[in-house]
Amino acid sequence: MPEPPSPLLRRLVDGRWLAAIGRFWWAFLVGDTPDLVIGAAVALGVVAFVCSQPGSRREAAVLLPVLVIAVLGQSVWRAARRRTP
Amino acid sequence: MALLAATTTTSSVAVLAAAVFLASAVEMVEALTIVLAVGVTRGWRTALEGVAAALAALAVLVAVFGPALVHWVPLAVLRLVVGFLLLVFGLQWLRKAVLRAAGVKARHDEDAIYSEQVAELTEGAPVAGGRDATGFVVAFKGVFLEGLEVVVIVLTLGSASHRLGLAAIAAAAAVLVVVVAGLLVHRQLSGVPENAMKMGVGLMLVSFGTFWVGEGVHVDWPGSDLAVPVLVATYGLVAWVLTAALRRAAARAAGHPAPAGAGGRGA
Repeated sequence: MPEPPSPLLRRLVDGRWLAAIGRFWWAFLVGDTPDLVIGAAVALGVVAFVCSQPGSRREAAVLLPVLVIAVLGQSVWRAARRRTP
Repeated sequence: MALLAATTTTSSVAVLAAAVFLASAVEMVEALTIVLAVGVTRGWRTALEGVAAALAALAVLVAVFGPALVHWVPLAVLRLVVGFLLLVFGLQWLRKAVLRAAGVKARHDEDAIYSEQVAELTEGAPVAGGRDATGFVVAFKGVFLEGLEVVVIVLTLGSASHRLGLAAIAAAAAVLVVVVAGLLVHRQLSGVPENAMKMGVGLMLVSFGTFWVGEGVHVDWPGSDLAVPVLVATYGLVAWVLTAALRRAAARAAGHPAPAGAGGRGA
């Protein structure tokens, strides 16, 4: 009769450790500002699309910082509105 | 032409070294506060064991991921992924620094954090002669979590610019400066202008992040590397305007005039 797996192995297999690692990295990288991550991803997508159009790569050099500023501005403004009574 | 190329390379190297040095210094000031609190309340042996274990864990991460990033990941992919990470990290730092400089969010107060940690750690006295697990874990967590941010910044900035050695030296110099300062003053470094440093680091991370994600999707940057200092200046101006606007809005809401200046003065 095979021996039952150790508690450590069981926890690894049932994914609880993986979930904990995932939660740690989510909190570390995203934390309480998912709007910044989503905003940056959208900005990157838009600029990638613009760069795929012929002759638009120089314009993208202006568009990307403008989009980043918009992402930062909305996040700061929303946080200030939430905190100000 | 050669002079312009040399100037642009020097300026982006300087920005890179400054970003890593400042980021590492800020994180190490925060870690020092926790280690001092553990050392004073639970004993220096426990505190130093926690620090040593955390440094060993961080060294393993650097040893595993550093060479892997540099040698196995194609530069274009590396810059896109690393640029995105830096952009998000930098936006988080900058957002927090602007909110603190405007008075919307409480500043990072090393004195208050130190007192809080000392009070918490004094509650459960260590077992005489045995290992003090609480002190060890608090020191380990403090150094590991603050150090992890340094490791991410060093690995990402260093590997994407192919200057991992320079980034590591800048980080090591910052750790050394903070440790020596801590040894000299024998207390937490509450006089350090942490918010201004965080603002500076945020600006540089966002600028490098923007530049590298742009490179990743084939943006044609005017002046090539010279775009990095231009981005730093542009984002700096935006951060200043945002801080001033928030201060004015807060003053209007409170019914009195806004204070002059919008810089991110220290905590």
